[in-house]
Amino acid sequence: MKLLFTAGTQFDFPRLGEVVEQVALQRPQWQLTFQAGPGASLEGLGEWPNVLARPLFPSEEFQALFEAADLVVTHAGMGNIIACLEAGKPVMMLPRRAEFGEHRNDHQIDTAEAFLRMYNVPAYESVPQLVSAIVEPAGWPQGETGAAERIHRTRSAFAQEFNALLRNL
Amino acid sequence: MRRPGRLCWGVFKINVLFAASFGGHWVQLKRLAELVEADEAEFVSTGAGQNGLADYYLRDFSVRELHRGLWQLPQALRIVRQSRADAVISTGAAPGLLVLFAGWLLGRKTIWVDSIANSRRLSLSGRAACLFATQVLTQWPELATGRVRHLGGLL
Repeated sequence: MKLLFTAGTQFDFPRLGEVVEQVALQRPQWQLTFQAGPGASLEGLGEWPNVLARPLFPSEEFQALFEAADLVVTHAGMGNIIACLEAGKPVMMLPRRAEFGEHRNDHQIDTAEAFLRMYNVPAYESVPQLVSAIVEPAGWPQGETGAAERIHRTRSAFAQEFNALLRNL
Repeated sequence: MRRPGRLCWGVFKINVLFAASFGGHWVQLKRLAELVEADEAEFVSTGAGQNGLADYYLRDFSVRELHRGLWQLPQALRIVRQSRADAVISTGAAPGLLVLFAGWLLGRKTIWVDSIANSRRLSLSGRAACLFATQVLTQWPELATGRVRHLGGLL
């Protein structure tokens, strides 16, 4: 199994690093890649032979890792979620929380709830909950094949309205 | 009311300047730009080192540290002038707001499209955009008010 963990680029997100370590421990045969974000401490993660962790991968390398991944685990950031939904990639979220200094506010919890509702993307509150979900592939979300088509329909409708607005500003 | 753009040999033309900081806002901006019928499109972003796809760059800052952004206003004005945009469109965050503001100062039409990440409340930058932008859009129907419109979204 190949898993890609991605923390976004704004604030430190050590809880996702903990998830990577625990999955590495429980599933030593899996290949785990972790993009931890600029300035993140990768202490401890270098000890695992099945973990490749970097603050930031060059965008082409990241794209290749994304395509190869069987599962993407991400903070509830829009860039990664949009990419996963468009590509029909199985994805799980760990929303950043203000109480741990992971973001300025708790809007990622709202985002996660909204995407669970709309596209059935599972979100987890805590490290242990997320780890137990990851180590059992039988329960992984299936990358929704219908999502790409739904996105296309939604955007076509938005495009019509938006262009009408732009022409008549 | 004057429409944005201009007639050129009898054909209506519109140039658009798209602005967003790098990351999720940029991903949404690129998706939005694919939908917009513009004759010319140019892009402003942040993260000059990581993001090679924009035409102009600003330094990233948060709307809470506005002073760190405002010294870039001359740069933002220069970008809007140089792009010869008829309309400026931003998906956020603070650097996008700054370019939108520069567009407003120069009399261009401006559209703010609030990030889909804000599902409960319009972003702080979006609320600031309400003070001057020609149009403010949310991608969530439940956040629409009189001033903030919902015309659909990217997802």
